[in-house]
Amino acid sequence: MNAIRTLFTLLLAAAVLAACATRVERIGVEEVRDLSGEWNDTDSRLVAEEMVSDVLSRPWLTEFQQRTGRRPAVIVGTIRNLSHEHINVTTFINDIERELINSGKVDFVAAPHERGELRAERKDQELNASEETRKPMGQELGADFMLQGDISTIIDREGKRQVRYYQVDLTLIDLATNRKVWIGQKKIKKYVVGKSVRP
Amino acid sequence: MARGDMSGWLVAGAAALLFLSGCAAYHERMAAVDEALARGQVDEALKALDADGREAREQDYPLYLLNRAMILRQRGDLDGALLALAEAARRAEEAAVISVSEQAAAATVNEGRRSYAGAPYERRLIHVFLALTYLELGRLEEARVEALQIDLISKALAEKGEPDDPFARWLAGIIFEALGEWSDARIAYDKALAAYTDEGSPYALPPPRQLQRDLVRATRAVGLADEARRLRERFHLAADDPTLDPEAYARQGEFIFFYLDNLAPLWRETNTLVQATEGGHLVRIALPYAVPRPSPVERARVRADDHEATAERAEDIARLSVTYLEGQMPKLVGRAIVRAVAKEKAVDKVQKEGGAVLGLIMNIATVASERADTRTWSLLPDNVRLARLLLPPGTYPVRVILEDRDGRVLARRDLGEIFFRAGDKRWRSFHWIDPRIARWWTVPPDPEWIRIHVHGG
Repeated sequence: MNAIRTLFTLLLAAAVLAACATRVERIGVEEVRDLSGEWNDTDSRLVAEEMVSDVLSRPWLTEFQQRTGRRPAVIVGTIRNLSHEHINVTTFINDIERELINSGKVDFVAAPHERGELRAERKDQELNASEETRKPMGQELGADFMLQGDISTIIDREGKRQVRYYQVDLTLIDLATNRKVWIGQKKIKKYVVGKSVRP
Repeated sequence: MARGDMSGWLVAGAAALLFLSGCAAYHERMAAVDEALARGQVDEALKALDADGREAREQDYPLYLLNRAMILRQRGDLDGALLALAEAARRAEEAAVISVSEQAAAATVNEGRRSYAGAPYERRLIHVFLALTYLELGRLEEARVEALQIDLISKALAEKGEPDDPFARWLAGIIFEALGEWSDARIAYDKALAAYTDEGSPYALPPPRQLQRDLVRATRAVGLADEARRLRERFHLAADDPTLDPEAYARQGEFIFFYLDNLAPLWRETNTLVQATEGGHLVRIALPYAVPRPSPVERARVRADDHEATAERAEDIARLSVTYLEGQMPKLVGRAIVRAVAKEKAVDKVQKEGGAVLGLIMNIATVASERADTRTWSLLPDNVRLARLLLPPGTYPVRVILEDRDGRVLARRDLGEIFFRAGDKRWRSFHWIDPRIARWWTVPPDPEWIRIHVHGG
């Protein structure tokens, strides 16, 4: 009888455990919740905040302002994903752009893919907008500096345990001289222990 | 316990067994999909797979996604294939963690109650096909992520004794080379060569000539001239071979072609009687056996005007499938016997305590629930072949020609006009499925196989 009871108990347990339903809960966008240990929105935001704060506190900014009497115009170039993950680099670039613009210390120039659309609009205005509201061609603000960089990872793994090391390197380059005026680096290290058993 | 209460429990148990045993086995459900693919009706194949997928249990969902990705690739929906493969990779990784409830169900009902995590070679091939799909979309940086994933999963699999996959390494090298990362490319090519020549590994194959040239070129590119010369001499490559010179190579366009041949082995079910150690009585067990589906294609040539290359065999997936299943047989047989004995005892008890009718119901339930786990990523190709065709800058009509061993043309496929500038690389694949694929559906297991794997030789 025990064998049968065990058999039925196991079957019942299997059926019950298989029936767990999906649960959804809204959480604040600032709330930190790491699930897989992979690069997430919190990493993107924190790295952007810290690196922008660093770049804006360095001498190149005051030197430029003293030399030209105006704020530098910056453009974000390519930030390569050299990591093990499909990181959404666009989100990271957007975080950097937001921090830079909101600082009020630099002017920001639209990226190449955005400029195409803006130029098409100005061309359209030449034909269709009134003279008072028309925006002429050839008046764009040229960038003084370009921000480039990459995100790379080193993953050390043994069984279910792994250390995930992320390194973000950014470089600010003077477009006129190709001189590197700032190099920033931010590292994140995570220790992740995977599940060893599921229900 | 009162006899009436007992009967209720027993009927419920028998019903649960029947319910959990599922319906048709995987290999039976895939017949309609295979047939449509063999006829070249990709939309029909997708419809048949999706109809099955809608009813798929959660445990089978990763496999549904993997097969869906292969059909979407056939259909030219590479973005859809990426989504399916990425989701399958995530689910397969989750499924690889042991589940208490699934173990219990597998011990009492059948092996198919476990979530499909895929064989180790399949889990790595998910990243290979992700990389390949990104390449075909021209998304080289994302293909690079998959090359790193291949490295990561290869290390994890090596810890468990799984040999390295030379094709995966070769593909990673090609990706690194395309990005100008010669050092990483050289390491990957070197690992590929080592894995091709790893005696006893199911991945071992005669090293492709193209890979040898790739390794020499990458070795020269990183400045190891003496080592490159030694390798060139070891591989008997001509000193003036233009494909060995990284600079000359960069002045050409390149068409990198992957030929995916037919379909991977089907796993079918066989029922057999074995003698249980405990009690010594005969029990019926259901086991999977592999039916390879080799194709008649001997040569896959890719031609652009008067430039031509023959794709070389880079991966023998059929061998990986058969070897993996053979390696699993002792465990499968052992667990099947334990399960069969437990089920028989349960039937015995029910018959004694619940009467003949309940005993019969329980017996039917236990027999019906005993199914072999025939799940395998069967829409993978039987084998993969690779060609790298160098082309001077220009526009070329690119065509694939498949021939049998007598030189008869089995299929031709125009891949369209492709424009190459110096240094341009274009990646394309072609998956051909034998129109006579149905002939493999009814192949019985080899009696010798049963003797060796089931009855222990």
